[in-house]
Formats: sequence, structure tokens, C-alpha cells
Amino acid sequence: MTPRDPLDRLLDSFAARLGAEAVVRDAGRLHVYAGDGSPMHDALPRAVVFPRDTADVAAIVRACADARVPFVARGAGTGLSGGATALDGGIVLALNRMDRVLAVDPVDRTATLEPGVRNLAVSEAAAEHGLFYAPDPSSQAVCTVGGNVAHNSGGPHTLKHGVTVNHVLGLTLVQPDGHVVRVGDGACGYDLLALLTGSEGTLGIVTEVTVRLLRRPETVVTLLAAFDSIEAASEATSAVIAAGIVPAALEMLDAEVVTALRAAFGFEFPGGAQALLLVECDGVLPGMDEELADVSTLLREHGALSLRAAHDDAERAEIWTARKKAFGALGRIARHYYTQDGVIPRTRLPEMLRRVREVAARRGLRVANVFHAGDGNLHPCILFDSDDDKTKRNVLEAGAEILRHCVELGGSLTGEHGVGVEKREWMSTLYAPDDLAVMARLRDALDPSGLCNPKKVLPLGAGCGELSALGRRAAL
Amino acid sequence: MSAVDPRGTSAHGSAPSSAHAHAGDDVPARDALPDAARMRSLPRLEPRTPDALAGHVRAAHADGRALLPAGLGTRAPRGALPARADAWLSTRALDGVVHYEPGDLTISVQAGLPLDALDELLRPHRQRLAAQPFARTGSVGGLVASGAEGALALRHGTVRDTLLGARTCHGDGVLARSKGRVVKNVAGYDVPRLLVGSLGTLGVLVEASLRLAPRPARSALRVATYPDATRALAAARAVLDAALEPALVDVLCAADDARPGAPPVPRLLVLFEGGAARVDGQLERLDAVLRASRPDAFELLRDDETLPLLRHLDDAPRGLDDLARARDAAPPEADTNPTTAGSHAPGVAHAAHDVLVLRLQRTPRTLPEALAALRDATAAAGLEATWLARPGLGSATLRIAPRTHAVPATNAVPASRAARDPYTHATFLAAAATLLDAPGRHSGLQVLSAPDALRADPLRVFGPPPPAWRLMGAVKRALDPRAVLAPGVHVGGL
Repeated sequence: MTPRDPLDRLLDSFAARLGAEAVVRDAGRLHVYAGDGSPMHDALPRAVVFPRDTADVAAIVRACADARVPFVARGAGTGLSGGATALDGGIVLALNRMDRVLAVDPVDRTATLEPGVRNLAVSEAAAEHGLFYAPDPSSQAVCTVGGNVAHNSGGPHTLKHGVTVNHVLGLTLVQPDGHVVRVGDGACGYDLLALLTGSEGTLGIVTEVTVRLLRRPETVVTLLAAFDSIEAASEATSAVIAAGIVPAALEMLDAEVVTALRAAFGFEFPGGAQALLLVECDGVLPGMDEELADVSTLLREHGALSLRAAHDDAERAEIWTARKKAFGALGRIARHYYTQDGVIPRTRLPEMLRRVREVAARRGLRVANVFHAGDGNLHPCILFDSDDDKTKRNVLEAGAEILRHCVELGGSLTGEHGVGVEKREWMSTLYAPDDLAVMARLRDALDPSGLCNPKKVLPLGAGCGELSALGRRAAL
Repeated sequence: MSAVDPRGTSAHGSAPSSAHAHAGDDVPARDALPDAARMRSLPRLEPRTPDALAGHVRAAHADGRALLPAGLGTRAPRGALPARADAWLSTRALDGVVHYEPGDLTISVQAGLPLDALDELLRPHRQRLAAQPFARTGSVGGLVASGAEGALALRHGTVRDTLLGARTCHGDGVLARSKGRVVKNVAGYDVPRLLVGSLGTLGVLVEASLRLAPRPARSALRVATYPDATRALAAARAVLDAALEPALVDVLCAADDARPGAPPVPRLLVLFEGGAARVDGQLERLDAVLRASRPDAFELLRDDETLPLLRHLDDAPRGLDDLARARDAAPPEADTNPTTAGSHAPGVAHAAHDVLVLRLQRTPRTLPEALAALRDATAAAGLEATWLARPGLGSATLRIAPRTHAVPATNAVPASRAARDPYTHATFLAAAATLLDAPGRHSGLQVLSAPDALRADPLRVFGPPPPAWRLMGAVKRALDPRAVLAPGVHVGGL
């Protein structure tokens, strides 16, 4: 018998607690947990463990802290920034088995959930009370609420209903030293819910979350308008907002996507359609006709070539198919795509889209845009076929360049995908060294050991005195 | 750079204490506190640039002095009395607009910008700050630091939900930005929201970017009066469960400023905003719901008529106070009720500082019971509460003062007590302390304003520290390592 190394002893202790099948160390199976939804950032974990409850997570975290083994929580692995990858020889805590809906309270309109509950399952559990959970990332059928809290996830309907941080009321946190603490629930003191939501699993592991539920709107009407240019569609978007109308969703698809949808699924759009605008209004019946009439008039005044309205679920599903299948359609016209998540002030949309086209043209790349126009949250998809290093580098550099333009126009690097590993070093284009140092101090305060999802969010060296040397250098 | 702005050390130096002027012998507690007297004479720093502000903080950090961040000074001091204090640091002179592009529905302003000036700016564009659109006293920084819950919180959330980004000065004088002026942004930790409700203890807000909301074309406020709080709260629940999208569902139990001198009665208030069809269509539905609840009286305010009442609701601590003072100032009405006539304490024209304002945060389910328990405890302490409840948010604000109205003879507290003993400030303090020191106090109850004598102990102001208090301490030490900013003011002495 060879003496087992300390990590093996640690994993043995986890297996003794959780059962052997709940500890994965076989390299072949570990590959499944090496990456997330982004194609660019893989790292093989040393092991994956499957805790069943808060006590398990606390025990594992405490043992990792004692043994100085880095750890990272993972939900469905649908993240797009490499945030759930295990760096520094760490292990993954896969929270998929913690997937119980613990309570739905129709009076308080809350749901209490384990982190592995799928986003869509929350609304399914709430449906019998006429309630739903508002944040609805595109991956909602798969992604988990734990991941949503980590990323402060959004979705198409956040324009009216807000993002995750607007809906989290309380949570149970396993701190990086294994202590368990309840946060929020209306208690007085600092707003730690806001600090933890969107912290990408770097300040602890959330093992239970209480979210606000909303009443399902009495009526929902979806409009699909086609425009002959992305500029016209952008102006129509601004006109709707300026009129004081806050639609539930305002989504845009550009010419490249229109073409892909035609080619892949045979969708029919009016000839000359270079952009599609999807506008969804929800609410009570009284006044809805007037709101729709106002929106339709504005869209026509701003050059809508055609306007289609869906008043029932089936018609609406059809319209949303165009939006939801957009990424699938792109997959049929290119072997790979790399999507970005920049945000800009909404009025800069036409300018930003022009800059995206310039970047793409200069680098010989095709870029398709599917995005949350109402929020100014862009998702430029860079399409590419070959996966040689040179192409990949060109694609990554194009993505970085696009984000730099977002920052220049007064925006941000990421609206909902998170910083993760991907945009970690680009944070210095958005923030000054002092800004990052303050964030680094918060991180050090809550995770002094630095073992909790290391090397994510903040540039390496932030807060270590090397920061000023980084300066506001260009990305990449 | 120079540490202290000499121009700042003006006016507030030696203003005589009004309490001293009329106090007499029985008001010892407040002014016996050396801190309270000293705070009035502290120098006031009013930097004109963010860098000057940071310079003050940096200097205080170096010298181990403590600063009390302040805005326009329009709100009653919040939290516990500071453990140490060497100067006020006001953002009053930082009152510029940094960036406003109406088409983006966002604005970036400096912290000292008064809310009414902000509204002047937004009105021509038919926009508003939904966090507190009606009561426009105070500054943006004060709104953020207090984390106040405005009238439209049910629909639009509080300032927490509309704060997009900020520039802040932390305890070592470092100026930092976090987030920005776009409506969706997950780049980095949310430092701005951490400052909401921090009472200045984590950083001084220098600049804030806020999400705006369109101003509605029409609004209508339905007011229904009920004989008791239970029925008013039940009616509120029915409204919340109906197919309606109200901007506000409140129960206000305070004097009616349209009927000065009358005792407080519970009124349910429901506000609709939007286009004419949306407002009127929902009013029709609402009235069907309310008829079943059989209110005593029913009235409707439209558009600008709604504003006086909405101002009271938007800033509840001040609104309740204004309503109470309007009532107290009115000539006393002859008590013609045979069961109560002659049983109330005569001449309890209590002093302005005999007021305690509490905030109760529970859930919609538990609020009615918690509110009833607190009102009972208030009555048992010989005090009277006027209050505003938000049943959909599970929150309430209570203004508690010596009883000025008739008490039924059946009440737990013998009304004769007040008649027997002259009511003094000390009587009030003792009664209020009984209320606050009750065993089993819930962590959702906190003091919003109180006489200094009741604010010396954070435990009394905030109740027992919440479960995550240790974590909050770590955050405080990270952002204000030498406790320069309002030390000891927040929960558990943070």
C-alpha cells in the first residue's frame, strides 16, 4: 500500500460522510466538471463532491479550509464566464442534489429553495398559487437558483421585473471557514444580500435561498415587429421607453440572426427585414388595449415593416421561438460562436452596433446580435468555424475589443453573465486600481484564506499592492 | 492637502440648546449625556469637491478622529449615538448633476443634491425618482444612507432597487467607484447597495447613479376609513390578493389633516397610476373589492389632489410627525363620547422631544399580529401610537408619543395615572424604555428616531444583533478599518 496523499485522505473523509458515489475522483468523469457553458475556460477539478444539505456543505468547506484545499460551488454548469471552474487544484462542490423546494408561501409570496433547484422549477412550484419567479435567464430550464444568486442573473423580463438581487429576501451562507449564517430576512444591519448576490461564489456558498414571487400577470401580449435597419429598431425602442411605457421585455435580433432563423428553421419575415423587435407587455386587463395601441403606433411611426401580435400562449410561444431559437439557428450557420454580454446606456445602441460591425469587419469575423434592447444589454455572438489557436485568439480579441467599446460608451463588461475567469483581467479597463482594491478588501474580509473560488472576478494582484502597476491598461 | 476646512467650522458651533432653555429639573437624561452636548458644537466640514472630502477622511483616518457623515440635516439623527465624534462631514456642497441623458432613464448626481432640485430637473422630461417621488426633503445621499422606504416601494422597490452605481469615500479616505450608470451590471461586488441603510458607517456617498421611472399620466388615490385596524388590514389583504396592480396599498392610522383635532382612525389607501383607462378600470375593480369590506367612509383623490397625502406616506417618519403636530396644534375637540369623556389625561401637551419613531419589518403574513402586539405594548406603557403599515411589504412605521386622546375606561392602563402625576420627559423616557427593553424583542424592530437618552445603547435602538452581525463587522472593518465614519452608530455598535 502506498501512503495516501492529504487530498486523498480528505476525499476519503467526504466519502465516509456522503457515501462513495458522492465523491468523484476518476479523471474520466471529472472532465464533465472541467468547464461551463463557455467554450474557452476549462480547468480540471481534483475531485467533485455532492453534498446533500447545509451541514454537508459546512463540513466539506471546513475540512477544505483546514487542509488548505481550494473549493468552488457549482450548479448546472451553464455559466458563461468560467466562474464555476476549479482553479489552483481545487475541488468542486456540485450542489445538484440539493434540489428541494423547501416551502412556497402564497401569503408572503416567497419560495424557500435549495441552491440546486432549477430556475424554471421555482415558477412551476409557484404556479398553483398564481405566482411566478421573475428572473428568467435563457438557460432557465436547466440553470439553478444557486447559480442565479452567484451571478445576479437577469433574463429578458428583467426590464420590468428586475434581476435576481431585486428578488432575494434571505439566504443561508456557508462562510469560507465553514460557519453557517443566515442573512437578510428583514433583519436590520448592512445589506449583505446585495453584497453576496452577484459575488460569483467568491464570498461563501449559498445553501438555501428565499426569493420573492410575483403574481402572474392577468394578461400578456407579445408583439413582433420587423424593421429594415437595426437603427430604426433602436429608435423604436427608445421611443417606447420615452413614452413612459415599461414593457415586460424588449428584445432585438439583427440581420445576421434573421438570416440564420430563415435558413435554419424556415421562419418567414417580410422581405427587407434587417432587424426584429420583440415587445412584451404584461399586466392587468384594464388599460392593456390602450398600452398596446400606443406601442403599435410608436413602432409603426418608427418604420415597422410588419407587426404581429400574440394574445394567447400558443401564439406567444411562436414569437418567442424566434428569440429562443436564435442561438440554435446560429449554431447551424457556424460551427462555433462566442457570445459577449456588454452593457451600454440604451441611447448609445446604434453607435455601439456600428462599432461592433467595424470590429467584426476589420477582423474578418461575422457577428450576430441577439440582445435585451430595453436594458442596453448586448449579446454579440462572434461566429467562427475553425478552432485553431489563431482563430480562437482573433475571436477572443474581438470580444475584448467590443467590451472595451462598451466601457468607452459609459457601459459595463457584463450585464448578467458575470466576470468569472473570462473578464477578470479586463476589470482594469472598467475600474481604477482603488476601485478594485476596495472590492479586494471586501473579499479578503469575508474569505481571508482565499480558498473560496479563487482567481475569479478580481484581477490577479488586486489588493496585493501590485495593483497600481496594472493601471488602466487595455484588455488582453 | 489641508486636513480641515476652516470655513466649515461655522454656524453650528455654540447654538444654545433649546432643551436647556425650557427643560426645568425633570429633563435630566438628554443633556446629562456629554456626547449630546458636544455633538451640537462639533465643527461642520462642507467640502466642495470629492477630493476635498476624501482629504478630510484621510486626515481623520491618520489622526484617529471620528467623522459623522451628513447630508442636509433634514432627517432626525438615525441610529445610536456615536461612540466618538470630532466633526460633521456634510455633502451639502457636493450638489451637482454629473450626467443626465433622459433617453436612458438614468441620472448620475452628487450626493448633496436636494431631492426637490432633482425632481425639478426630471419633471420636464416626465420622469421621476421612484424611490421617493413625493416627499422631496433631504438629499440623495441622505436617502441612500437611510435606506428609507418610499410610498411606491410596493411597485418600484426602495432606493436600493434603483441605485445603479456609486462613487464612495471609505474610512481611509479612498475614493472608489463601483458599478456604473447602466441598468444591468454584474461587474464586481455591489458596494453601492451595501451603503444603502448603512447610516454613513461604511462610506460617504459622493456620487450616485439612479434608475428613473416615467411619471404617470394619471393617478387616483382611494381612501377608505374603517372602525378598527384589524378590518383595515384585512381589506388591504383583499386588495393585494385581487387582480390589481396598485402602486401603493397602505393602512394609515393617524390624524386626518383634513379633520384637525379628530382622533386617529385607520384608513386604507390604494393608489393607481398610469393611463386613464388603466387607472379608472382598476378603480372599478377596487371598489367592488372594498364594498365587501364595508368601510365607514370612502373618498377619492385624483392627480394633484393626491400629493399632500402621498407626501406624508413617502417619508413616513416625518409624515406621521407632521400629521400628529397638525393635530396637536388644532384646538381640542370637546369629547362628547360618554364612555370616554373626562377619562383622558388633561393638558398633555407633550414636548416635541417626547417622540419615539419605530420601524417594524416583518412579513406580510406576520405583520398584523406583530403590529397589534406592539400597539398593545405601547398602550400598556401609557403611550399612543400613530402608524403607517405596508401590508404588502410586511413593514410598518410607528410614531409613539404620550397619549393625548381619550382612553376607554376598560383599557389596561389606568388613565388616572397621568392625571395623578404631572407628565414629564422622564416619564416618557421610562415608558419608552419599557417598550424597547421588552424581552423577546424581534430583530425586525428598530428605532428610527428617539430622544438622545434612548439612543445611547445600540442594543436599545436596534434590538439584539442579527445572526449575520459578525459578518457585518468584517465588512465594517474592511471599509472603515479605524472606525472613522460614524463609529458605533449602527446595529450592535458597528
